[in-house]
Amino acid sequence: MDKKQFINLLRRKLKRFNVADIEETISYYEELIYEKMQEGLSENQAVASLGDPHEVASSMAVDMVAKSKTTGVNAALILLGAMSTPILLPILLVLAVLYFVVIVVWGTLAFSFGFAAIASLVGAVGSLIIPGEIATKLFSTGIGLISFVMCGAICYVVVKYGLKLLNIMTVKLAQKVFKRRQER
Amino acid sequence: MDPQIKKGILDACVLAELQSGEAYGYQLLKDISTVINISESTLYPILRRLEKSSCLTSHSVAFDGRLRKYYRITAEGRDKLAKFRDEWQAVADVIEFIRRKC
Repeated sequence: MDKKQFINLLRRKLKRFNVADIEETISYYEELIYEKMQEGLSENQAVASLGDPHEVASSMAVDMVAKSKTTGVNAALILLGAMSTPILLPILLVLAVLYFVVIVVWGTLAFSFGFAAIASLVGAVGSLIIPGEIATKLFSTGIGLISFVMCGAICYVVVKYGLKLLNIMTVKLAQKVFKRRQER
Repeated sequence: MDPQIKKGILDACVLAELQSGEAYGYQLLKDISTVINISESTLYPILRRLEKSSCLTSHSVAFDGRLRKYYRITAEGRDKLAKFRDEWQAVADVIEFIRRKC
């Protein structure tokens, strides 16, 4: 067998045995063949002194860390995990947006009714001060006061239960986020 | 020689060889072969393992139009060699004990 045949056969065997760093191993044997030839051996003699390529490759496989089969599985798992992120992220984003939308709506409602309540009160008081028919004044004040109470009440309800809802939503969102972290 | 015993000893042989200076693969093979049977296929995994555990480093030098890989012992390699030496003093004592009884 000449050097080329030996090296090609060795390379095939190393691949079959799943040996790691095949090219480094090949370099090592090429160097040895060269050195032996420098000492006077012919190419075929140098190759023969190395032994059977199959035996050589199997020695490498026993002693050297072969490519682990499990790395293939691990890689697949990592890939799946990474792939879930494109699905997970948009979901989380939507939830976050919903969360903020609810806050904004709640805030607006509360503020609107609150403002309306104050405006009603001002109107009620103003009606008393502004000159005009007493009947009209009393009517306006009455409406103003009723409006004030109603808007105030709605505002109070919105604020109170809104806060409760906010609490629940925050907890749920946090749970989702941390549950995801745990799963990973 | 028993393969297990041989495996442990060969690591130390390689390190001991490199203790006196850097050497290339074939040089190591020839020198160690004078005292214990070692083949090319046995030496290479040892060199790789020792390099992976940082007991030695390697570098390639251009030589006669080719590259020759030289191996050099590291501080960790020297420590490991010293550990081998101490352990085998204990083994040598036991062997002496057995030898006297035989």
